[in-house]
Amino acid sequence: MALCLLAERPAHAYIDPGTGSVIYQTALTVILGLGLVLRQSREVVVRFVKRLAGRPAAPEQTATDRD
Amino acid sequence: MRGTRLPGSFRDPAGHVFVADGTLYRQIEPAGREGYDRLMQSGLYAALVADGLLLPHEDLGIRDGGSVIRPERIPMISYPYEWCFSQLRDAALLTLRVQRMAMRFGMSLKDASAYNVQFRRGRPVLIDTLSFEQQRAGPWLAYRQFCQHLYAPLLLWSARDARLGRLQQIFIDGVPLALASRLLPKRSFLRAGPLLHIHLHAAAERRLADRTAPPRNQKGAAPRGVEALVDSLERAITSTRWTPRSEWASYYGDQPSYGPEAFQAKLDLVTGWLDRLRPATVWDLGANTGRFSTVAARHAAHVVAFDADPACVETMYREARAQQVDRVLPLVSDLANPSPAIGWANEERFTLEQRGPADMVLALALIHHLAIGNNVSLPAIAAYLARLGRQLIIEYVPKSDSMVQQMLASRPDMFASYTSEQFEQAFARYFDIELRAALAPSDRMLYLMTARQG
Repeated sequence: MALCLLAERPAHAYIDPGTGSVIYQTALTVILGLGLVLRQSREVVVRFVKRLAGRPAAPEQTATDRD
Repeated sequence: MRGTRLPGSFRDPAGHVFVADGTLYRQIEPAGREGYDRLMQSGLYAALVADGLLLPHEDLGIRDGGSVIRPERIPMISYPYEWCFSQLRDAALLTLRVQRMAMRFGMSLKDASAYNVQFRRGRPVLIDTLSFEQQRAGPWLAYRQFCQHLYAPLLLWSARDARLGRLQQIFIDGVPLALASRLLPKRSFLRAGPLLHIHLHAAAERRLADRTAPPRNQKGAAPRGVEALVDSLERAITSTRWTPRSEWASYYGDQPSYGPEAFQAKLDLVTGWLDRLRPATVWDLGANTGRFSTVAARHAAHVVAFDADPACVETMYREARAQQVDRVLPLVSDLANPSPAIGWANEERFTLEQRGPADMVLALALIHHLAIGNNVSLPAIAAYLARLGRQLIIEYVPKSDSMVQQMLASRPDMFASYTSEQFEQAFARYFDIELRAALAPSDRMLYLMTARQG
C-alpha cells in the first residue's frame, strides 16, 4: 500500500475542468492575447504620433489598463 | 492523528480536513506533498499571508504517520449562498488576486471553488492551503469552476434579482453556465464580461463536449494566456454593480415605530446585559441595519448579524468594510427557512444550527415576524431558539404594537394564543427567564433567558 502511494503521481487539478471549457479557453486566451497586443501597439503608435506633433508624451500605460 | 474527518472533505487527493478535540486540522497526503512544499519554500506562502490573502497555519510536522498542519480558526463558517453581493464580489476578486500572485511564483490554483473562501476579520481569505500546484503551460483548469461559483452568481444577482443569490444552495458546484446564460437578460450579450465568460463559454461547452481536449501541456496556450484570462475576469468582476434598495433598510434618522424613549431603553438594557455577561459569540437574528450587532461587538469577541433581506446585509457589509469593523460578519439567512445541510449524503455543508450554538442570541424586533408574519407557534420558536444559543435576549412585541397592527390590517386575527402570558409560558419550557424589563412607554418587553440543558 505504501509503495503504491510513493509511486503515485502528484495530484493535480482533481476537479473536472470540462472538455468544452478547456478548448474554449485556449481559443479565448488567443483572442484576449491579441486584444492585449493590439492595445499595446495602439499606445505605441499614439505616443509616437504625439511626440511627432510636439506634444508631451503621456505616461506609459500598464497592461492592465481598462479600455 | 486521531480525529474525525469532516464529511465534506473528500474530493482532493492532496489532503483533507479533520477535527480532533474541537480543533480543525488539515492532513497532507503524499500526493499533496509537492504542492505544499513548493508553496512554503517558493515564498508564495509568506507573500500571501503578508497581504492577508491566505489563512495562516502552523506546521505540526508528522503526527501518527501523517503530515499535519493546523490552520487558524475561523469563528463562523459561511457559504456563498449566505453572502451578499459585495461579499461574493470580494470573494471573486480575492481568488483572482491569489491566482495572480501564485503565477508570479510559478504556481497556480488547482480549483476556484467559492467554498475555498471564508471571511476572517471581515475580509475574505483563501482557506484551502492545498489548492496550489506548480503552474504548467496550458489552460487554467479552474476557469469553468470560477465562472460557475464566483462570476455567474454575481451577474445573476446584479443583472436579474438579488434573490438569485440563494441559487448556489441548489447547485453544489456553482450555477451551471448554460442555466446562467438562459437566466441573464438579453442586454448582457452586449457586455464583454457576460458574453465571453458566460454566454460564449456555455455555448462552447455545449458544442465541444464530445471533442477530445488538446494535450494539457501544448505550447500554444502559454502562461501569458492565463494572465490575460485573469485580467479579463477581473475587469468583468469589477464592472458588476448593485445598489441595495429595501423596504426594511431604514437609515439613521428614522424614528422607530415604538418611540425614541423605548428605543433608548432597549439600547441601554442590551448594552448593560452584554457588558455584564461578555459572551464570546453573539448571533443577532433579524439584524436589519446592524444597530445592535454593533453594540454587541463592543462586548463580544465575534458577532454574526443575520437578516433575510439581501439589501440589509449588503448595507451592513459595506458599512463594516468602510469602517474596518472586523468583529461583525453579516450574512443572509431567513430564520423561517435557514440554510439546510447539502451536498453528498447531505453532509458537505452545515445547517445554521450545526455551526452553533452561539453564546448569546439576540432576537430583537423579531418575534412578531415569526409568530404572526410566518404563523410559527410560540413553543416552536422557543424550542428552536434554545438550540441556537446558550443565552437569549428577546423582545416581546405585543399585538397592540403599531407594527403588529399593520401586519393584521389585511388578514383575520387568528392569533388568540399570541399573548405575553403565553409567550412567557412557551419560553419557560425551554429557558430560565433571568430578567424581564418593560420598554416604557411602549408595551414591548425585553427578556434575558438562559437555555436549559437537555
